[in-house]
Amino acid sequence: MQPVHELMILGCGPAGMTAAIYAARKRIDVVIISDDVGGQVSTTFGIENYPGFQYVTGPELVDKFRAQMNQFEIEQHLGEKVVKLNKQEGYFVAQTISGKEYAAKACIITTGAKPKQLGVPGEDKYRGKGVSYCATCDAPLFADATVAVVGGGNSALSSSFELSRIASKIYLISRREWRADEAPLIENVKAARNIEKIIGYVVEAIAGEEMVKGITIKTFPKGDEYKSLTVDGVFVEIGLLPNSDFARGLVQMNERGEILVDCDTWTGVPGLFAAGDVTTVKDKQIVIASGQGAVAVMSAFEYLLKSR
Amino acid sequence: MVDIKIYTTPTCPYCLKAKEYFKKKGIQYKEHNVAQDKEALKEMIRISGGRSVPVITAGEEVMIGFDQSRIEKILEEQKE
Repeated sequence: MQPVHELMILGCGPAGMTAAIYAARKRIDVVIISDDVGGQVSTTFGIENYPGFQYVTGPELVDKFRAQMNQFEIEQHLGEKVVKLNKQEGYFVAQTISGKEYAAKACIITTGAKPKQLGVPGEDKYRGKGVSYCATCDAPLFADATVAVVGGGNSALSSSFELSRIASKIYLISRREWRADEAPLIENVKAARNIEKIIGYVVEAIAGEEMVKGITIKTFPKGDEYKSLTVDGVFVEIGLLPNSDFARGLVQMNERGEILVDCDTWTGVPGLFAAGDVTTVKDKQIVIASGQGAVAVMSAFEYLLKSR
Repeated sequence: MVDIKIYTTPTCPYCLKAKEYFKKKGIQYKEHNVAQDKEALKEMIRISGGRSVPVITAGEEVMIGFDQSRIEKILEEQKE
């Protein structure tokens, strides 16, 4: 077991890095542990709603966050996935996949969320063989190809728009009218001549040989009409699943696995706070995650002062 | 030391993570940007049977995606 820190931050996305910056400036003895850096931001093409930047790519914004965090001497354990979080004898103990343990008096969970899967035949078989959950990574591999993008939120539209500059044809499939609410993005997608909007359908199956060759879609919710589309790729952008499994049993979650927090980011467990997309916060936005990360440190600081 | 090749796209964070890992460990690698290099893209699809980055090859071993524990194991085995 490592020495007990005052504060432990799990996750290193916008919420985690903001929390680390705030904690370091408050001279809190802090350790940050995370599987990756940047979380979902690092797989986002372009960001136009983070104040201070008219346009910034996801990886660029992550670099900015990281550079600011690295100004401070913060103990960082990156590339370490947390698999279990417990409270033992008044301390939080995080166990990582490599078997290491870290302990702290207070803890902020900022482990974010990962893409949800479709759960249809062929999805696992063709993962990496045409099925992708990271358009930012794989879009350049689909030059002049025909692809399907599944989903109707901002991520699905953003991926479709980026793909429209690379692929020859994009089917944008969603079960109901787009949920996307970013007007400039919606305008861009509507203006792209190679994006075909298909509303009221869900994916039934993904088929192929060595690689994806096509998909079958069916009407939603009735499922009484089927269509086959010839595609070389399927980009899945249907929402998120919180990365909260490691905290099961310790903290209260809703049925989706999001950690319940109040407006001070408190989880109900003394000394345990959570911020960003892993929580029940209604809107999953970078600026909101960052803001919550700051709030969490204020709350944790107050807790540490009281418990001294 | 076994030859390491990594097929990447410039916007792929997992590629970056893999490269950071190699740099940290002082492991030399050759990078192919498949968003630019069409021949390398064809080669990547042929050896990995897929269309996804990163693809990492270590000698005869081919890995799709970056799995740190797997790469450590392979490098360890290659040493022996």
